[in-house]
Order: sequence, then structure tokens, then C-alpha cells
Amino acid sequence: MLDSAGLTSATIAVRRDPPTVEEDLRSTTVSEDPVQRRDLILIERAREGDLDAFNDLVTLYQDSLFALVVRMVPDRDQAADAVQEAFFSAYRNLSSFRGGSVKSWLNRICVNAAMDTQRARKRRPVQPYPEFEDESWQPRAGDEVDPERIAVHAERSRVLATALSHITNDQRTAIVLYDVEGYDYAEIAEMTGVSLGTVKSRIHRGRLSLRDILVDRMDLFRG
Amino acid sequence: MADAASHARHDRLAIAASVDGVGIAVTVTTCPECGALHRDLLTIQTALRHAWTPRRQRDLRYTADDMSRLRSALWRRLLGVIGSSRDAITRPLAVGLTSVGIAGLVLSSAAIAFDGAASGAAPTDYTIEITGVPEPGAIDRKAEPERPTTDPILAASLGSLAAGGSLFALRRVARRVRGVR
Repeated sequence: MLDSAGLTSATIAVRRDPPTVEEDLRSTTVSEDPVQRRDLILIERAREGDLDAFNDLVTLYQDSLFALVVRMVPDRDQAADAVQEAFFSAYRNLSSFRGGSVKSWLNRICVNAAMDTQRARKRRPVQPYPEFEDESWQPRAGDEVDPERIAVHAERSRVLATALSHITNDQRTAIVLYDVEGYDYAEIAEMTGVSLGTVKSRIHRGRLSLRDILVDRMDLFRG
Repeated sequence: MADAASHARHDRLAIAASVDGVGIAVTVTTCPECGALHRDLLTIQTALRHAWTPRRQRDLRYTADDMSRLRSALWRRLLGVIGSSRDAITRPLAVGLTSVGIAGLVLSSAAIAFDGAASGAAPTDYTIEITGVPEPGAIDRKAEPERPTTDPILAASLGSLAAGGSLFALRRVARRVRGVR
């Protein structure tokens, strides 16, 4: 695992922006979706040993994958470590990529890495998940810029993240994958290695636990 | 209209399930508390979808040095898989080997104890009848010590137990390595 200090002090090999969807679309019949075509081209280059191409993929997906993992592992450092581990695992297993959506492939690797981190935390409970500072929130693209709305949204996000950190790992994972990432029950069952009934139970019980935690703060989420 | 006492008997899990739109629990429309619970769950679900996440604090791109450092030896990669969520083999294998080993040991011990009890229960009031003088060669052969025979079940059990224990130890080491990193 790369430690954060080591990584930030190192010189990143590539500082350029990844190719946009419009540029560098070589003739290919692999996919009509330009995003997927771009990703497949980058994967192909990375397979040939082009680290820059792989770093382009990292640049493109590190934010969304970090957002996924940090919900499952509510500790920023550990979440970043898990995503970094997942990217490296992806790099090592480029040959096992069989086509399809690169984003889904990376998502699955990240979910595995996050679940490993959850297990490691369970075995070594050093401290409860720290609360995130207010200034550390990452608004979604296109969200409002009104300062008052931003403050409310940040507070909602902080309260939700704290509540999520207080339910069980299994419930949190299931809720994040279902309610936030939009996977269906069967996909979550396959990703987490449990039965369909267990997935449903985790989601439903987790929702009730969240509501019990948030029952006094529900006004924050209305309006 | 339901009262608070009857609300306590309502199925909260069914209400949580109805948030998915599969079907609305009847109590959502007949019980005010259940209705409030349903609305709160929908509100939380919507809020979760639109919640911001903490900002990523570092760049996750790799340098060539990072890659060569991380592209480690095969044994370390194996350790990375053993005991992880992707490893569905080692734990059941370790449990199986250990169980077989323990069962074999119990069987062997029982057999030895049974043999001991059987020989201990043999009649002692016997008479020795000397029928003749043995030839010298025959005495020498009898004087040779008997080779100790190893019980094959016992040996297999010990082997199985050792293999199972080793797998458990390997999983523990693998987890520790991952946890420390």
C-alpha cells in the first residue's frame, strides 16, 4: 500500500489531463458508447504497458470510486488506501478484463477492496470513524452555488455520513450499493457473496437503523 | 385508525421494504406512525442519493517507481488473496483438514484404548508348556526387536491436522500483513 506521504512527495509520472471523449477515438467496433470506447482504448494501451494510459483511467475514475468507497469505509485515509489498492489490483489484472463497462469492473474491484478494509478494521478496531470536517465535502457536479444551500447540503451530508458510520458494515455496504450506486439485489448478492434474502434484510434493517439514528434530525432533510 | 399500542405490533421491515416500491405495506396508509416512518425512510433514501462525499485528499495516480515497488513477489501476491473476500477456498479447506485430523486422532486413540483394554482383560492364569528346546537359529530370530508399526490412520490424522493448522496460520499471517500495510 502506498502511504499518503510517500505518494504526495513522489512525482506523478503524468500530469496531463486524460483524453476527452471526443478526441482520440480510433476506429473500433467494440462499443458505440464513446465513453466506453475511450476506456477500452485506455485499457488496451495499459495492457501494452503504457502507464500513462492507466493513469488516465485513474484520473477519470478516482473521484467516483473514492466517493463509493468512502461511504463504505467512512475514513478518508483508509478509503483512499482501499481505492489505491483497487487500482493497483486492476493494473495487475488488466489481462483478466473481458470487455464490458470499465467503470463497472473498477467498481467491483473497489467494493472488494472496501470490504477487505472493513474486515481489517473489524479485526483491529483502533478508533471509531472520525467525523469529517465541514470544509472537506465534495459537492456533486452541477450542485447549487448558493452559500446557504451549500451549508445546508454540507450539514445534511455530514449528519448522513455520521449515521452511516454507526450502522453495521454489511448494512452500510448494502445500502450504499443499492440506494446510492443503483445496483439491484442480485448484483449486490453476487458482489458481496451472500444470498438475495440476506441482501434485502441488510438493506431494510439498515434503513430502519438509519431512521432510528436520524429520527431527531429529520427536519434537516425536509424542504 | 390504528393507535400507538397496535403500531408496536406492525411490521417495520415490511415498511422498509416498501420503500423499494415493491408493494406498500397496508399499515402505511392506516397507521399514522407507520406512514411517518415510510415518509422518513423515503426522505433518507433521497438524501443518501444526493449526499456529498468527503473530498479526496490525495492524487491516486501511480509513478513508474510506485508500480515497480508494488509489483512484488508472487508470495506476497498470494498473501494478498489468502484470507481476503476473494478467497473462498482456504478457510473451508483448513476447517475440513483440521476436522478430519481431529476425528482421525479420536478414532486412533479409541482404537488404542480398545486394544489396551482388550489385552488387559486377557486371562492371566495360563500355564507354560515347554515342548522342546528350540534350535539356536530360532532363538536368534526371536531375539530381534520388533519393528515399531506406525498406525496409518494416526499418521494421516496428524498430517491432516498439521496441514489444517498451517492453513489457519497462513491466513492469519496474510491478514496481519494486509492489516499492517
